[in-house]
Amino acid sequence: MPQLVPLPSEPSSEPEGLDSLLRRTAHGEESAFSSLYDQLVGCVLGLVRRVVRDPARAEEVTQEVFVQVWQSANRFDPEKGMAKTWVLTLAHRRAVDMVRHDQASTNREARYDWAGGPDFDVVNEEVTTRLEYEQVRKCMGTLTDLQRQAVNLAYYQGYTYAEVASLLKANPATVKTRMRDGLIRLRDCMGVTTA
Amino acid sequence: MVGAYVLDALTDSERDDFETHLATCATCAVELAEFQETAARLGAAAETTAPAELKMKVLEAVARAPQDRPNVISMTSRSQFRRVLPAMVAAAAALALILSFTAYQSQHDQTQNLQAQQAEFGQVLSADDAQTQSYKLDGGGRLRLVSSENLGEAVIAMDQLPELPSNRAYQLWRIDAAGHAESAGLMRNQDLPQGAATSLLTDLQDTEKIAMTIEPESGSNAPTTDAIAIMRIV
Repeated sequence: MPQLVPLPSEPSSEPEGLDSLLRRTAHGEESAFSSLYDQLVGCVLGLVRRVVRDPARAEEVTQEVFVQVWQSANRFDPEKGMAKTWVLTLAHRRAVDMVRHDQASTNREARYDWAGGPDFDVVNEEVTTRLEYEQVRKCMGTLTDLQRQAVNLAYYQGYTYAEVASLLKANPATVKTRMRDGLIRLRDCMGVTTA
Repeated sequence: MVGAYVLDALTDSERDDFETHLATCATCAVELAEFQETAARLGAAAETTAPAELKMKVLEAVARAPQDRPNVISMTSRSQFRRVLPAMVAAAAALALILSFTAYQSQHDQTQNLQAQQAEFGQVLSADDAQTQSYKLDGGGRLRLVSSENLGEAVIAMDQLPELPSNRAYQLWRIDAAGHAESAGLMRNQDLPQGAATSLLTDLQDTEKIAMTIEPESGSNAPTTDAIAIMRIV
C-alpha cells in the first residue's frame, strides 16, 4: 500500500530566510528579530541548558545570548558562515564562560560524576527522534573513545582541554589533537562543507 | 589548537592569543568555518522546547538594549542635516546605554553629566565605526567600552567595581601589538563613587587592547599584577 513519504529533509540546510532575518535584525527590525528568535530559541536553550545544567540559569543565559544577537547582529558576516552557526557559536561561548565563572570556586571534578564518560546519548535527557539528533548520535559513534570523550567534555560540559586531559588522565597535547581529529571525523560524517 | 578553540576549550588568554593568530592565518579560515558549522550541529542536536514566557523577557530586554551601530548611521543621506541628525540619535542612544550604569545619580546630576559628557564623548559614540563591547569582571563589576578605530579613541564605562583597600587603585593600560603596556589612567576609590566612572581614552592608534590591573595607589609604570580585564579594540 503506497504511503505518503515526507520529502527527505536535509539536516545541513539552513531554515529558509535565517540569514536574511539576521541581516534585517541588524537594521533594527524587531519583527525580523522575533522570527529569528522563534526559529532558534529551541536550539539555543537546549545547548545552553546542556552546558550550564541549571534550568533557570540556562534561561538567563539564553536571554543574554539573544540580547547579544540583537545588539551585535551587524557583525554577522554571511561570507564566514550561516546565521544559525553564528548564533550557536555565540551561545556556546557564553554558556561556557558562565559555567566557568559560576564554578570557578567549586571543584567540578568532584561535582560531576563523569565516570564512564557522559556520552552524547547518555546526557541527552530529552531523547528525540529528530534527524539532526540521530545524525549527531550516529557520527559520534564513528569517533574513538578518547575523541568522543574529549569532544563531549569540552563541548557539552564546558571543560578546557587541560581539564579534559586531567579528567581522562591523558596528555594535554594529545587531547588537543584528539579534539581536532574528532571534529574532522564529525565534519566528514555530517558532510559539512563551506561554500 | 583550532579544535580546542572551536569547542571553547581554551582558557581566556589562550583564546585571545589564538584569535590574534587567526587574524593573520588565511589557511585557518576554511577549517575554522567547517569546524564551527560542525560544532553548531552538535549544539542544534540538543534542541528543546522553550517556555513561552521566555520570549516576553527577551523582547522586553531587547527593547531596552540599543544596537551596537544603529542602521540610521549607514543610510545614505542627501544633506548635511540628515547626516548629522541620525548621528546625534545614535550618540544619545549610546550615551543612554553608558549612563544606564550610573543609576545612583540624581536626575539633576544625570542631566548635567549628560550634557558635559555628550560634548566630550559624543564624537566616539557617534562614530560610524563605533564598536561596543562589555566585560564582566570575575571579582564583580563590569566594563563597557565603545571604541572607534578611525578616531583612535574609546569611551570606557566602569560600573560596580569592588572597593579596593585604601593603598590600591585600578589602573587602565593601552597595550600595543608588541605587548608593551602604557598607562591610560588611574582610579582610586574616591574617583569611583559607587564603583562607577566613565572616561575617555585617547591616542589609541597603536593600541591593540585595553587592560585593567590593580596597582599601588600611586600607580605603576608597567602592570605589576595580572590583568583583571582585557578588551581587544582592533
